[in-house]
Amino acid sequence: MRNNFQPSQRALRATFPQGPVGNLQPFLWGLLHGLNDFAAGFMLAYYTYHHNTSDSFFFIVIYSIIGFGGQLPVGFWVDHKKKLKPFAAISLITLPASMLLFFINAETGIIFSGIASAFVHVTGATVCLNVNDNKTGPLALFTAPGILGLTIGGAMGMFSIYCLWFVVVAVAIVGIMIWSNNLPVYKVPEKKQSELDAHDFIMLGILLLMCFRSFVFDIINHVAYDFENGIIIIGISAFAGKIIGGFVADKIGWKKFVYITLPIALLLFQFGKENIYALAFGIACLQSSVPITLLLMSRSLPLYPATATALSLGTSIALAGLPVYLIGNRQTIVDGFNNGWLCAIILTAIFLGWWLFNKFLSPRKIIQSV
Amino acid sequence: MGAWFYFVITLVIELPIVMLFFKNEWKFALLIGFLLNLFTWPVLHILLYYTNINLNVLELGVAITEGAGYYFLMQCNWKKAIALGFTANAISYGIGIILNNYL
Repeated sequence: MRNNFQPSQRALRATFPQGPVGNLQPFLWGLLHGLNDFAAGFMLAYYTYHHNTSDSFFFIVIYSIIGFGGQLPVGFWVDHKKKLKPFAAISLITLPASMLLFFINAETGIIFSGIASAFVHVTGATVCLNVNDNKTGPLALFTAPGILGLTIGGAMGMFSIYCLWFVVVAVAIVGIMIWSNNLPVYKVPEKKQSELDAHDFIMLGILLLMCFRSFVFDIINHVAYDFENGIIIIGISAFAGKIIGGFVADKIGWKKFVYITLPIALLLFQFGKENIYALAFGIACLQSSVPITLLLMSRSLPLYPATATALSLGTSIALAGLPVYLIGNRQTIVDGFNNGWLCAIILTAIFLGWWLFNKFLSPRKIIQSV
Repeated sequence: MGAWFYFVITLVIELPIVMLFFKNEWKFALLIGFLLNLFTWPVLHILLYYTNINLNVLELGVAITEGAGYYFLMQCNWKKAIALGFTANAISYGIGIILNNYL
């Protein structure tokens, strides 16, 4: 006898357009992202403990150039090929390969870690943009574990290299789950020529905002060295901020959320300089906008989701790191932060953001563009 | 440098065999073949340097791992995947022995 309470196939398809397990992809790619950044943080920290400063600095720069700067070419490539499967395969195999190569030759391992990082970030975020159903929550699941992995990996760099074996096994398990859980196909909306002019402006505005945000994060990271466990506290707060931000923004609306969190971040950075927990809460507020800006960037480049991802997670971070790299001296950066100019930058960013969002991203325009 | 040379030789020998097994989707198979070798090559060398396991046993492990990789990533028949893993690795291992002994 037929069970009347059994949902029909049509109802199931309506409820889960990607299949019932399709929504696991952001979570799994988030795990992979965390493991990738853990491995990178571990390898770079381990290398720093066992080599001289100039060699270590050189390979940190090399990793940054490949891992962050390399995301844009990978993004172009994904959007050109319009396939996700080959890029997922590259991400899933180069990551454990980089860790294994690190045992044989540390420099080769770091270079391959940069390559794996570029592919994991771009492919993972593009997969999430394909299944996120216009929500920031899934993007938060993907973006948040990265900073946590990097922080913990960096802190564990002083321990034995054999820690990496556990990560290799974890990556293999997550990789098998990703591959067998309905990897989505690459899809973009149909092209609408009339929308393209305004999008350039929006894209540049969002890119500028992301650069500001990453720059502020870099500064606070430098400041956090002065506090006991400061880096770990900042890393955990950035992770929590992204996760909470992604889901709360879905509930109350991203605009309202940004208007609340950015002024809080400003106040905490201005008045909480002496307290690591105040700075950490400020960082959580600041980083909570990461999934939002990723979604906005993908909306402004609807035909090129992988390029949008690369601009959000790679180019903006690479550009933001440049001034800090050029200044070099940590004390100068800390002194600058204590002078209060950082707050002026955030204030400028908020007003710029407010102006851009109101001018170009009114709800009607977003609905049209999507 | 020697080890890297053998890696390149392995790729030169194994990738055409992979292409022969997957004529219809040879581009993707080529990528998967390269990636699987990129994974198994360092594993083999780490185990070779850090343990006392016999090289023949290690090569057997590599063939099985690569076979499993082709089965999983190319989503093909497992017999075909295992046959490819063993054929490609047997040929590359054999040529490696010849190179080592006679050149």
